[in-house]
Amino acid sequence: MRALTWQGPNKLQVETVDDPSILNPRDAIVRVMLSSVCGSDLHLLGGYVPTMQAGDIIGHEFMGEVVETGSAITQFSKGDRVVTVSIIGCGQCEHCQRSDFSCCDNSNPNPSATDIAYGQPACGIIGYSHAFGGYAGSHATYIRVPFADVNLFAIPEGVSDEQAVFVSDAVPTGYFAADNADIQRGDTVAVWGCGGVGLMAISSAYLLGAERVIAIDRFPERLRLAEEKAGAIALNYETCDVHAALLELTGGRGPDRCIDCVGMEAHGTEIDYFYDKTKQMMRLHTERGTVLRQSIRACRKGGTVSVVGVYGGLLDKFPMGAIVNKSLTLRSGQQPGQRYVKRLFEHIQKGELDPSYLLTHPMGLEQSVEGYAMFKDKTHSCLRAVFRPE
Amino acid sequence: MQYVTASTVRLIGKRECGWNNDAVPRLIPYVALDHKETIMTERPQLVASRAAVPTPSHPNLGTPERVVSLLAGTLLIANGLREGGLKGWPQVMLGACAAWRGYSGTCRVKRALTHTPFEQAFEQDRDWNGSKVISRSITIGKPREEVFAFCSNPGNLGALVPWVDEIEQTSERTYRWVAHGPMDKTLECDIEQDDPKDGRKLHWIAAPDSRFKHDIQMHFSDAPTGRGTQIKAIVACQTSLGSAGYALAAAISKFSDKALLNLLRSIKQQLELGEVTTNRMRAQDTKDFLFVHPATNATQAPTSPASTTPITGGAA
Repeated sequence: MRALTWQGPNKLQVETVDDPSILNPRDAIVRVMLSSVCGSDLHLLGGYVPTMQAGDIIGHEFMGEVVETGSAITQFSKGDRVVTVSIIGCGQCEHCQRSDFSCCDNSNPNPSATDIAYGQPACGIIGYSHAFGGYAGSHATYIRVPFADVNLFAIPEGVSDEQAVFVSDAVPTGYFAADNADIQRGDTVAVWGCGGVGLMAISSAYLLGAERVIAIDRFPERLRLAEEKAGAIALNYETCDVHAALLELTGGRGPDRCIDCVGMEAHGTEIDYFYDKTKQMMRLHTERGTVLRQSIRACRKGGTVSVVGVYGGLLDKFPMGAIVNKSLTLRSGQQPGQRYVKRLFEHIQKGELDPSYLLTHPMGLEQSVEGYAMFKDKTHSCLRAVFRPE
Repeated sequence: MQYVTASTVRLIGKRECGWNNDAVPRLIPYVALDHKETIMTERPQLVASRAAVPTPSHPNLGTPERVVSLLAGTLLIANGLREGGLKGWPQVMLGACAAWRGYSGTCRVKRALTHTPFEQAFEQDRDWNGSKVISRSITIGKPREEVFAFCSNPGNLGALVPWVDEIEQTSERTYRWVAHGPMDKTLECDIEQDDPKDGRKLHWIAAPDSRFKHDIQMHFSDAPTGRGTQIKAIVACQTSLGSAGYALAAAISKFSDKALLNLLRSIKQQLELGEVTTNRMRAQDTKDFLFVHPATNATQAPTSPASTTPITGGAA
């Protein structure tokens, strides 16, 4: 089969690799119909996430058709149109039983790297480095999905492929961010980052009762989408002082809930960004914390900061004093999408949510290297390039 | 818990704690004081406990070591200053470190090479000159009886270790583990299994004529609030050649620790899921494991209900 493989930092290549096969009774093989780029892939691409190996197939946000199932699979059969949650749960461990699928104990076959880094092994993630399991990704003709009864979801009637593909990751991540923020009716929510996840977080915040959402980014076309498609108030951090603007918009209180949809490669205009960038280049720390610092500083006293932007390691100058002295709640995690998929499909079916506009650049898998370049450089107004394997 | 008065409190040595083969880790009496009464309570001996961080008020160097350090440091400083330049200044820095070591009486390197309290107790109990001990714990969401039965069968465990090719039961309690090692070498190790203890402990020791002495224990307890079974695995190996041998064993134990983590995770996956998670693309590297039952009058190890599930191999 053909697949997009990582060959080194900022080096991708489409090549022919072995087809996957059923290895465990609870596996399924899915023929990939649509597979999207994701902002978190850029961390892999840039070499910021260690334990990548040359030849690794990347991609984790996809939908397709079941072509083969293991002997223990009961809920799916050949021909089913499905979407897969990219964070793998086993469905049986203590955490999965609590619906904390992204804390799964059993889905990572390489537990030692994250055991050392984080204290306990993290879950497995499709196409997301060997520290998170070393699973082959979805930018390929076929993919093996472990624990298929837990991680596959049938796409209901009335939901198009272009809508369903984002229920794999961008939509549940955004929804999880808003859910984690503990939004109360009438709240003002600030969302940093207007990529796919950020836009879905804005829409989700409204679905969960927010009165208004303030979106922060620097790309005019993304801010326009935040306003037109998601109904947010847009702030361009290159043309305004974000902290002052947020206080001005909230009567000096600050947003009730702040959501970080940016993560470890945050961009900024202040001195802390250049400090972070320098230390990151010197490999003295791994994260750029501009957004995290801004959100913690801006959040109203007693508010909640929800983090779904990807952070991998260590961050310097973390404002712990503000968290303690403003009584903030900090919540985070990889998305446990299995918890939300059915609810999200219902929102889509009712017309309350339509993620299909994220798909700005459909293309074939053979053009995926160009697709990633466009997505990374944010040229041609690329919000998401989505590949259709031939 | 036992309550005693201050007049009866005394420090209790390791032997007096009743630390023996049957209970590792044992409960070691812990003396706690408050303003009203002296309470003797019990807490488990932690494998993770280490020698205290040395400070000038609590040095870990003896007087002879301090004197040698001070003298050597002073000589190095003097010689470094005399020579000067690129050759001299490193000597000055090294001498300053040695002099500080002697002056303060503290040495982190010595601390790192000091056997942990658990290892010291273990060595005393086994009459070993040295040991390196590692431990890992895991919680498995299955009843203790089921977990214990699964782990009691070496065939189940061997199938989950990627480099173990074969286990042969050579006598009632002895198993020969055959593994492929580095550079295509085949390694063999005879391990004796003690009688299981009431569904709570499994204990294996290397046969008396083994080149490398090992002691492996698995302790089983019920996890709180119905979470299943807690396993605490303790692996000890005998070391020789003093501090150098201990340092070498400590370095190797980093790999053993990873192997132990992978094994415990695989046991958990096999018991909770009926399969072991893998990231391989295809099955060509599937492990071909063999469990050879005794041909003579040896007793076969109990087969657990869980072992009826086909074991598909270790993690890739």
